[in-house]
Amino acid sequence: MKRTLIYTAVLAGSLFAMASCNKQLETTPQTELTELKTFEDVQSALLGSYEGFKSTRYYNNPAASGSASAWSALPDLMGDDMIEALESLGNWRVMSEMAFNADNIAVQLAFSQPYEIISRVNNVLQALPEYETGDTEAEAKTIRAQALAIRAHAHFDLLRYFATEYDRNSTALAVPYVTSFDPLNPLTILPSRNTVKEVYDRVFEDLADALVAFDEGGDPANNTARYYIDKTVVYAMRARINLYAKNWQAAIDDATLALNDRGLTNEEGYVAVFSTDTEAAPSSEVYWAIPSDNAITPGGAISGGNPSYRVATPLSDLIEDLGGAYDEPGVILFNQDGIGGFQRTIVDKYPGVNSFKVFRAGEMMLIRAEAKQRLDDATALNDLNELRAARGVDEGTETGDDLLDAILLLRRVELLGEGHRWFDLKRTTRIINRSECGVADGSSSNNCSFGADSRSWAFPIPFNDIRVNTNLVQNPGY
Amino acid sequence: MRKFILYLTVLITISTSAAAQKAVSGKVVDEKDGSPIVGATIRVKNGAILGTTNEQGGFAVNAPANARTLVFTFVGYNELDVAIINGEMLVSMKQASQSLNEVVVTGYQTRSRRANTGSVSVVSIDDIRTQPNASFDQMLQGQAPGINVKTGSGQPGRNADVIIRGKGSINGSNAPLYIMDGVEIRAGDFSTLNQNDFESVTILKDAASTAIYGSRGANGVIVITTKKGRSGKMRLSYDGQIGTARLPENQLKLMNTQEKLDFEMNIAGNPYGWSPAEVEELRQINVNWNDFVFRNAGMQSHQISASGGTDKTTFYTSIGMYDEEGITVGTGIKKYNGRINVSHTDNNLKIGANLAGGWSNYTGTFEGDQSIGSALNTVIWALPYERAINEDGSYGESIQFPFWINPVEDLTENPNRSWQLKGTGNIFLEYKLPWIKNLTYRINAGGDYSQLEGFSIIKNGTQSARQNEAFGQDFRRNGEIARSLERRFRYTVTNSLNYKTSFGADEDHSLSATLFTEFVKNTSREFDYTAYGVLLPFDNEAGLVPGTADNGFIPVVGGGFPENNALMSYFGQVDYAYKGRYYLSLTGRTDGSSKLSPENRWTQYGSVGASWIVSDEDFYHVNFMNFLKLKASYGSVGNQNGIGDFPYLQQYGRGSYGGRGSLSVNRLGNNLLTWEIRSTLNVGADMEFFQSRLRASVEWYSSLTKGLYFSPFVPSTSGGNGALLSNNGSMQNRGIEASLGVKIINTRDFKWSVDMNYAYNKNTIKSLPNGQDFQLYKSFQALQVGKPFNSFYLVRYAGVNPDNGNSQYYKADGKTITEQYDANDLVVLGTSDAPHNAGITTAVSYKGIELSAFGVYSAGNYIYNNARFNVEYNGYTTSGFAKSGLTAWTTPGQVTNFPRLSETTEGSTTRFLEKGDFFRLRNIQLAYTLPTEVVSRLKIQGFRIFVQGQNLYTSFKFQGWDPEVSTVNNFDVNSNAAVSGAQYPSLKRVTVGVNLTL
Repeated sequence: MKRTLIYTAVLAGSLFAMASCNKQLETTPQTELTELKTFEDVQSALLGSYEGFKSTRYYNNPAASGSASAWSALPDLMGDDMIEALESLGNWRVMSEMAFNADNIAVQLAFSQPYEIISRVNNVLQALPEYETGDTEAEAKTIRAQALAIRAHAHFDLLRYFATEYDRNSTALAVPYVTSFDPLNPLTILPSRNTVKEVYDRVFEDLADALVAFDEGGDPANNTARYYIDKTVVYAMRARINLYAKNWQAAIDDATLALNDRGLTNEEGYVAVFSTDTEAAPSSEVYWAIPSDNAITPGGAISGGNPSYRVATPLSDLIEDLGGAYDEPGVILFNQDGIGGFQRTIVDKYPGVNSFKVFRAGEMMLIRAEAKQRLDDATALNDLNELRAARGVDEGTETGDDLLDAILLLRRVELLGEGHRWFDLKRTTRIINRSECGVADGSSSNNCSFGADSRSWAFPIPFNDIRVNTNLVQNPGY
Repeated sequence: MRKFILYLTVLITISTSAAAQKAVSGKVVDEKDGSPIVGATIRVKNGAILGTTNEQGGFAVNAPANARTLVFTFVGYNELDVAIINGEMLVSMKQASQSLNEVVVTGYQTRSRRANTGSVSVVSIDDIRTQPNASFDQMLQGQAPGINVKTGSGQPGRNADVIIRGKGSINGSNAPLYIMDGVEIRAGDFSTLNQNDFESVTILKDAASTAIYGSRGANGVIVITTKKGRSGKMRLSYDGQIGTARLPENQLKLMNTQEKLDFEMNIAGNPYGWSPAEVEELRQINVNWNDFVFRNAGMQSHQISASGGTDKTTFYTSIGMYDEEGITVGTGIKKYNGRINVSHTDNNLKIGANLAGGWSNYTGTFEGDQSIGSALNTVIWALPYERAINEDGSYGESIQFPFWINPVEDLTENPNRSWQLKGTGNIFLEYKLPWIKNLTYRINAGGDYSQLEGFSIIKNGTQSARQNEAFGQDFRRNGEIARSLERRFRYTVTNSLNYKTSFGADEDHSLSATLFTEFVKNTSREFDYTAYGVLLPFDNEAGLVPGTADNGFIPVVGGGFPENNALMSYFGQVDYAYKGRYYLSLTGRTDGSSKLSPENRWTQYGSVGASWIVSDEDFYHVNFMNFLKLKASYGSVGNQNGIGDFPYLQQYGRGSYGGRGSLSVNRLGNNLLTWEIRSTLNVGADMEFFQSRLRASVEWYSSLTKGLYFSPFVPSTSGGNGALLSNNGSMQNRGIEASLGVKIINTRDFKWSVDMNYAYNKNTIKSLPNGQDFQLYKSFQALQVGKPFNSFYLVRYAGVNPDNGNSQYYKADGKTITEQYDANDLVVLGTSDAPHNAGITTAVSYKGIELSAFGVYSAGNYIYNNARFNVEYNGYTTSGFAKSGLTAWTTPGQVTNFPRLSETTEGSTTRFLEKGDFFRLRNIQLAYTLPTEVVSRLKIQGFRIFVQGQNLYTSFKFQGWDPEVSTVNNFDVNSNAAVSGAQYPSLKRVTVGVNLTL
């Protein structure tokens, strides 16, 4: 009896060993998907592309973190309208002192995150054709339109940092324009930098295709919160790009198209743009907002209760003088106590968790005014005054260069804290002279002036990327 | 039956003895555990044999009336002279420590050290068992050459960082495999295991030794067996100790109130804008924050164990508790353990089970980071002129808020707790197959279950909650609760068939061959959430209010299946010996892993080892060297640890956008991904001199990891999150290991011994992916072909220019000095992994008194002192600041090493790179063991009392709490073990304890 038992045990053991062969090694991921199997998956993948904008590398900007936040807080804190306060932990100092090198992590992330988003939309675009017929056709076209617009937007954002100049037909190097995603050969596809002109060409091509696809598929559904790109956003994208490219007439036309869809409102409308209460149904001035999803703080470095950067005194004084909607709480806060007894002026557009407004009507009006003035179109003053009126600010009668200065100055006021200043400097004067510098001025930064000859007006191509992709050519000076 | 014969022998002996005699009786036991020694020979000193001990170790002989001393001998034990006393004698014999008799446990089988061909170190667990450490791996430091243990954290229950013979992998795991009774366990679980239950600890280092562990053993294996019962009279033991620990001195010197205010006013430009009156007021407050954040911490441990059995069934059981307070306020661990090991033999069949359970209750704090939320950082950044506790008992607020919060409040009010429940056990069945002689079948099946519940709270109104609010996270304004539950289960089933035989003339040839199959499966489940708004007066979920879109208290829920993998293996081992002098062992193995694609899942490798006992040869006539063994081995081991469960698959992970779920590629697939293979050549010699008074061994090894698991930098333009794992590059570890043991004095009453070990490991990156020779790595580090892994990459600091107070740097050429920091001047410097490691133990004993000391030495590594950067950075003059700031440059001509404060401090320079060399007196112990006469009179089996000190002396230059920078890190995946921050000081501790055996 006992012996039988033992034989059984031995046999059972051996059988166990055999049975557990290959089948036991078959495991599948339960929290990840390995391929986009259905149209619903493709829809989710489009949202995944949008989700890339929520990154701290792009539009999110947690306080005191030193995140790249390359298209939200960074262009402001690198500009001359922001002063690094004594409270700062110094996490963004290398950027605001324009002292970055090719191995800088923020530069690396500002380069990689747009491409991350681009790879996601390219993946969506590759998965899409089979759904562009039948029941799913319309929705698939709408997805295509959004994906193309996202691709153009991300490439243009790269160009803004990495190109040395913005002229429409410049042969200066911009960035590679990437239109495919090949997950199997990530190490061997090594694109070269396209010229500024080439990038513009393809950006405009993608945006034109996006408009066609929107015409075929319609605007995205359920878009009251303005989280998704529609035709108006594409016009706005083109208006901004044309402004940089100095395509003045095209900028005027596109801004007009956008403003025709969603124009300026009034003082309350401006303040409401930045209100956290209206995220689900924002002011009609908002074109495209990156959702907060109860987590994103787009202005941590420059806004809220304890930012590392405060508003420079001359601009603060100007805003106080202007008044109207611009000196309202919810837009700006004056006389906040700071370390060393310094009274701080703080941007209040992002008191905390808030969506980030990528495009809105105010910018369109400023683009149109500036473009008109560049063409010596006298109606530029009308646009400027229209904006002033909508903000409750006194209208003016400027002409010529004074008018251009007034437009550019109001641009600093209207768009303060929204990711424009450094790019505007780059495309205009290329001079930074911060008004306050050093501990005595209540600033923990000591390097505060930079001229047009600074290499830093174009970001370096990141060290690691140059290493692995020898087709990339470094920007001058690095 | 045997009893009767023994008795008869005794009778015969008596009858042949001379007339005048006296009766002597007593018992002979093993000194170590008190188990009876059966068959020990008893004779009169310089006289005749009187008899042997019986089954219970007892004896009753008649000695000549004039005899004063009896001599006891037994194979494998030291000869012992004992004075004859009236009444029952209790004779404790000590096992001979000659290496040849030592047994090497490899987990699957045991071999004598003589026959072993590989590189193996046996840890003398008995010498270190009583060290008060909640996590056993901490004790391994310095115990054997080639094992590098970092114990820098003094946080109770934290596991150590253990590396055997250098790091062999970049993105794969470098942690060794821990095997307890044949079952894999995790290092993190040592805090819920009881080292008092461990019987042997063996470290397997070369390929010949680890090959049978296959892919799991690529980074070395630490094999633990737990105590078995012994037949004979039941022994009941109590082991206990209590002690206290205190804070060491921080070598990073900070300013006191007077210094800080002088600094702020005279050097830093009065950043707070204090008026003279305010300065006077602040000068009256001088707070040493260490007094509030740290404390003297107690510890106690108690264990009761019992062991015994019959000749067929034996058991060992224990129950223990361990309670250790951390020196940081609020931290500590309490653990409770139970174990039962049983085995039963019946003819050809042996079955047994080892079962252990543990429960630990842990409160910790964050360490190893640069976070402003970590109390161990904020204690350093505190202002000495601000109060920790106000006169009314409330926690002090700071002018630095919200960039700084009170660490005392944080530690006291907002604890991080966890509870671990762990059950581990195995059953085995061994059957000597009756129809083929010497053929044994064995099955060992074991499971390891652990359940970790984590809990943390930020109470409403605390500075931490207000900090989150101040930084714009409004939904965190009223505090939060996070709870997580992780359950892991691993089972291992091993079948083996062993055949042993001897043949040839005089049975000169002996052969042992074993075939194994093994299956290991890991699974786990995890769930966690963070909920906001702790508005009701409860410090648990009852305190939460429901979340609405309005109040924003929307909980975040996570979870999943962190582990889901399996490993299937078939392997065999052949050991051959000729004349007990020539040994050869071969292993071969095939492994299949679920972590790799079906096409690349299986791999084969093996090892060969040989040894030769030269001193047994007829031609060997070296008198002073009584033993010489030469050995060599070569073999390969695969690795697939630490690479995640599905590294070969392209994966889409979840996200959200606008309240809707989203999918995006979070890993690029690599169908070609296969095994990382580490091949090791090992040669060595074991030597014994002067009748084994001096023992030495030397080993040299060279290992090469090929197909290195490496996440190459993916061109940004390729997307896919840049997450790709590939087999690329290679890395070499080469080193020598030496150990030396000397019995300087070895008389009956007085003994003095010294044991030393030393290891040198040189790590070299041989190649990187795609023909690259360089790649940036973690913060401040880079990988370069020809240089060691974890080499620093910094600009060399060249002091301060006395004329203008500017920092100066060396250009890349190393000669030119510039004041301009330039990334093009970054150079690859030394490594953060110490190449030199040594341990030394010495013990002096006189009769029952023993004094032993154990020290460790480590040298050749560098640490980036980020903690110092944070108190020397020019932007942080408003926080606690390093004393060195008083020497900051202010006037032309001033010669100093601290640049002017108006210059932005560059981080990536060698100004903050420091050497990590240290010597530490890790343990010193004074013990007294009651002599056997007294013990037997007291009717007990043994009694020992000891007092010991841990880390009482450490010599180091590193400017921090401790030169061993912990690799434990909580948040930041990009942070680096080589970078200091939020150090939990290691403890200086004194304990007293007793071991009592009844």
